[in-house]
Amino acid sequence: MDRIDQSHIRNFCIIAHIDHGKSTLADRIIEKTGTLTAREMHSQVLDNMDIERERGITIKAQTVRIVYKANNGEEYVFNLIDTPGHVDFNYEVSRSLAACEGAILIVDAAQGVEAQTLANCYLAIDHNLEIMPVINKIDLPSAEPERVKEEVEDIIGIDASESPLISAKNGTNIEEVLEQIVEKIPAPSGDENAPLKALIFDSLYDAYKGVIIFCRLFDGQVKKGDEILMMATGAKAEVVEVGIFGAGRFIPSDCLYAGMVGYITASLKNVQDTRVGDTVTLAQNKCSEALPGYKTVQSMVYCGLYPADGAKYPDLRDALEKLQLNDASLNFEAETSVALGFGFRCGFLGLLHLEIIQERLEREYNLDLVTTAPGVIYKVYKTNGEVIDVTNPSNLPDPSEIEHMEEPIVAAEIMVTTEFVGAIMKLCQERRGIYKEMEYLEETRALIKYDLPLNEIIYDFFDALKSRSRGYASLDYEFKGYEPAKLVKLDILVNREEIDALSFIVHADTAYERGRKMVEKLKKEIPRQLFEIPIQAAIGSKIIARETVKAVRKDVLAKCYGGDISRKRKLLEKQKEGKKRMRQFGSVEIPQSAFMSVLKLDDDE
Amino acid sequence: MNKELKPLSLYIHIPFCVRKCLYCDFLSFPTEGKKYLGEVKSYVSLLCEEIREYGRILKDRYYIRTVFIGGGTPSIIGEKLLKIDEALCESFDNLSDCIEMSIEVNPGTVDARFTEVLRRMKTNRVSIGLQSANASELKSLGRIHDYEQFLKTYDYVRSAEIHNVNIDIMADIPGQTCESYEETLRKVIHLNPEHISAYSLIVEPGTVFYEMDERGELDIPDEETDRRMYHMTKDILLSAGYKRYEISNYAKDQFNCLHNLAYWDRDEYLGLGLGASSLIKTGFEDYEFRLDNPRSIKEYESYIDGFKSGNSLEFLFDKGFYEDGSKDCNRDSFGDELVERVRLVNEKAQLLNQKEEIEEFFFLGLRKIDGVSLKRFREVFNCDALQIYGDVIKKLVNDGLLEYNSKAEIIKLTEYGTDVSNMVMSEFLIN
Repeated sequence: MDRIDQSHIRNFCIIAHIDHGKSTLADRIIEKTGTLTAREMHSQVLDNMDIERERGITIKAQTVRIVYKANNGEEYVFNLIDTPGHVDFNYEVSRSLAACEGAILIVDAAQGVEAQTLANCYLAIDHNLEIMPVINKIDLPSAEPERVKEEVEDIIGIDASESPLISAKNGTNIEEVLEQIVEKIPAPSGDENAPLKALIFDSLYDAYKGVIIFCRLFDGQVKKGDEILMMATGAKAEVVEVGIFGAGRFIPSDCLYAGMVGYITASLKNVQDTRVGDTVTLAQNKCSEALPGYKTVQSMVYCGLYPADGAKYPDLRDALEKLQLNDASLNFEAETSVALGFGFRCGFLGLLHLEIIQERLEREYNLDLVTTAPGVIYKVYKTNGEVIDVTNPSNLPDPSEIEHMEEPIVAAEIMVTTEFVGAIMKLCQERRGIYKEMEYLEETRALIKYDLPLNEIIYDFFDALKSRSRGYASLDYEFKGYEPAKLVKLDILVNREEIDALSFIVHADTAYERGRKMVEKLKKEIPRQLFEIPIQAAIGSKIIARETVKAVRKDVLAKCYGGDISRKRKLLEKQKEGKKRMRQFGSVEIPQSAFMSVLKLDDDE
Repeated sequence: MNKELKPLSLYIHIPFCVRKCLYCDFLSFPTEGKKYLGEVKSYVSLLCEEIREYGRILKDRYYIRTVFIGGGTPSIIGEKLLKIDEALCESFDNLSDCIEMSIEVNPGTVDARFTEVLRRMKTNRVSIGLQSANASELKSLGRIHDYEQFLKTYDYVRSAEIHNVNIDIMADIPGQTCESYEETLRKVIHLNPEHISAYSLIVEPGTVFYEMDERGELDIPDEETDRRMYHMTKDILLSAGYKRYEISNYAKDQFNCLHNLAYWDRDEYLGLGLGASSLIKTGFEDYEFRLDNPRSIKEYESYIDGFKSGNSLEFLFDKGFYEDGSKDCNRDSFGDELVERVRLVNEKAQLLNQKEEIEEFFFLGLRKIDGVSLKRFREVFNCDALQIYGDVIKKLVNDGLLEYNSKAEIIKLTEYGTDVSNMVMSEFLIN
């Protein structure tokens, strides 16, 4: 393969608010440049996980190399690095941005600038990227491209006068986008003779090739046989293959040079060694310093995952290990619950990440799971001076040993049309938010800033936000720090025994309310059994709420009519089936649905 | 030919009533307003054709041990029952030898002429649906009769020299109290019937009661009341000389309903008429079928029509058919073929596998208060029940739901187990 000079390489990404058409534009670019023929195009090439396509979001960064013949007659190589579109994956976004010289900013011609448009755009500006705005969805009847252009200029403060007005869906004005990529996005300018310095912006595990590192070379070169070193993790490995990205496939090449985006496969067993953000260099010829910005991804949300069928525990472990191969931000460790048996405490970037992992486990690995209430990491300051992190409520020390506790706070920015400002502020207030400020971005739109406890937004905040703003509010947040809070552990006792999997940590002011709702919900979920079952909510030894499931006293099919046995059988089978989905806890049987139901307490309101 | 006749119970379904009771989800059409009256006649002739078809196939292989004509309200069709009786007599030899010939009747449909029908049919058992002796309860159930009419019916039945009479009563009726229920019980006992069926009202989907319940308009006695009525039934009936022999059935000595016991004992029975169910054992390679007749008159008509064009289950009882079929030594696929062929005649037919047979043995057998004999299990299935159910039985015994007599090898429900029998029986489903 001929080497392309750096001056003819363009490394860029596309940033946008969710649903503004990021993946669709990527598809069009790939299609127009002939990387794939129109017939080969499977809609949204880059979102290649089923879940990504179904939910319309990008989870993993994806990359494609495109050859474009520009109007000036010259051929250019475009490396399009697709970025995840959700706030949970901010760090991945930031690493993808770091691999680029420019970013296409897509703004929906009808919806205009949204919270994530802003957040991603600022992130790109932080990385010194050249921002190239594109106004999409001009085919919509409600499109107001000129107004949106002004909005981009007013709110973000970048020049939008030359923004292409496109419809990615219909393929309108895509050529203009391609030409502007050549004109506006700077070429890379690395030194290919300097020691290797490459940024890992993603990695994945392939059953045949092993770990595949996605990287952007800033300086130097790398080829088969080189011994590489990951500067942060210290892992070393021999390069087995290097290459570039076709759409959905890997194309091996002899060598990767500065300015290029490509992949490296090496004798590595797991993606934990190839952390996103780490710098790859040569073991024998190290670069002087690593690229800036590396940090270990911190899980924000934790929950217990248990196989519904205890015998599937090894299967769950295998599945988590496999997923982790591809997802370094997923972490898990074995834990045991008295109620649920053997399972794992898993850490996620956020609730969406949790949901995606759960869904993949269920779908791709055919596992039936019981999930415990998601929680965050609490910092517990003990009276003996020790500070511990608690992710599982069961591990909370005895109250007498706790001096105080701190909870994670996020700085949230909510963009909303002015008519819903009141409703959204009320919501934030209910969630113990601290009002920071409000900016009117234009007459009809405001950006509200709140500090919110993370544990108040991981349950159903997004849903509440959407429903109270008729879908118009958008949210972005980032971790701010820890603050002291009056937190208590709420325990649930069924038949006077504590069900550890149902315990959770909650703010003292809302504990009573939560406890009451939980016991009410559980009463509905736990079927009547041979004896009376009290369900209690307790803080320490103090019972704050109670309900009782009465004993079954009669369960007979009185009339069995005319020898119609199949009907009786059906009834018994249904009964038996219900029993199968129960967890034996002491003498009480608790259906799996009970564990899940308490996650959705607010649905009943 | 007569040397090895097997016993068979016949169930004959009459799907007509004057009016549909508000709790009823049985297969029955109201004749009130004459809507179905025209259909009665044609239904009876279809039914007679079915009787003749099965008589033709079965009479050399079975003798009829019991007959039960149920409904609906069989008494509503009056003398047309004689047509059915005629078809039965013509189709099965020695029908008069059958030990139990039951007919279900409802008050308000029985008169002096009907006693003649009972006599001519050589009926020896009549079951009367009373449900309650209380006027307002009868009304709330949507019954067409009052207690006086019931008494007349009872007298008519007795005057036809029926010495085995059952009375159906019901607990948990909307508006019912313990006192009113007890009064019904006492009144019934006072009449001295040989058999009493005491059911609890079950609100079934598809009934008026179900809709009312959904709307919160059904005033069913609370659980405490229900419990008291339930236990009152046992106590009062026992002291009056009625022995509970099945979850909802009580009888004086020697008057257990043999037909119903055939269901719980998994004896063979043939259901004739709309929606009727059968258990047929072919006698070859343990092929046992549960059959279910069509549930709409139209489908039933074409099912009967099929007999004319040669649709018949006769092959099931033909040894030659199996010998021919067994050339294919793969039993599974032969079973599949067999069931497909049966379904050409009886669409909902099911071939039972051994697991299902074993499960049925228990969940049906346990309805009997005397319980289930593990010895008999061994004879039937050639394996030890404890091997399959040892743990289940142990657990249920520990929970106080089951009683196991290891010497007699009998398991039976305890009193509490009877109360929650569905929970117990579901444990006998394998996997």
